[in-house]
Amino acid sequence: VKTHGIDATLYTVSRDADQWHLSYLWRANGATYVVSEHVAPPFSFPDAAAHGLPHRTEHTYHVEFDARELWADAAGPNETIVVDLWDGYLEGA
Amino acid sequence: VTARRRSEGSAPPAARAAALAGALADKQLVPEGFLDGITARAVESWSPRNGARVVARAWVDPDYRKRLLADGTAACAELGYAGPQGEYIVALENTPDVHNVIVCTQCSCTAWPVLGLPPDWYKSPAYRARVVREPRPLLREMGLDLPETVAIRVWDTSAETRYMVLPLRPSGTEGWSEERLAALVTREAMIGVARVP
Repeated sequence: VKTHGIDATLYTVSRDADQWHLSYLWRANGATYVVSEHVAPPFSFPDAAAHGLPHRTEHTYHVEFDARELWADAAGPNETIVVDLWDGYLEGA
Repeated sequence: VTARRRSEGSAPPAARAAALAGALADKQLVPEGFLDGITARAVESWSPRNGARVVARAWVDPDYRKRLLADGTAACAELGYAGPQGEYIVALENTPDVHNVIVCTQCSCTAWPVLGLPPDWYKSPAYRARVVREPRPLLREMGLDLPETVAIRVWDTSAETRYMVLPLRPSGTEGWSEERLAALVTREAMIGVARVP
């Protein structure tokens, strides 16, 4: 996930998520997802910013989940959720 | 914390806003004229009519459409739409097989320069929670009935990216002027909860 212009690849979600994203990613933990080819410019890393730590930026990626992987009880077929995730939230499978 | 927030949030929004403005003024944290200035700018500069013009241009000009999908920020700036909450705009192309819808599950992030300030329903906890859990039934309730053969892609505004949906051009509008086309495009269509009629 460290390079630009990556092809769609399967990864699993990192456990090192900040508290806000925790509820979202908690459900996603262990779910597979697809990182799109699109890479955004570096954005402020919210975990550090929220705690007033020194400014640091990371690239974000559009990460697409099958909605049924996140909400098996509610989501239907042919529905996906795309979330922008910071580089540090992701780890290769 | 949630229960405490709820009980504290029982005052009317206008009263809470006035209290907050007063507290910030007391601490001299808001420059003089800032609130009036940003309010005026919100009314004058940030409007979904801007996004409608972007959509209409993309419908009539294939080269512009390509530029919009490749670099939304630059393509919107070409028409003069840029500024706060528009620093990184990504346009999402609807096709007969794929329908895009946008949300900010955290709060209310929106591409102000092209969509304007978000409507109240967009900020409601019900929309934010349901559109990611059960998009198809929710959209149906909102009047957009999509068959299961159409993929629904829900884009959560979780970082600094700001999205706008590029809706399908309605049939029967061949030869229409850009201005006439733009008049068809609603904020709801650019959020993805409605078709362009």
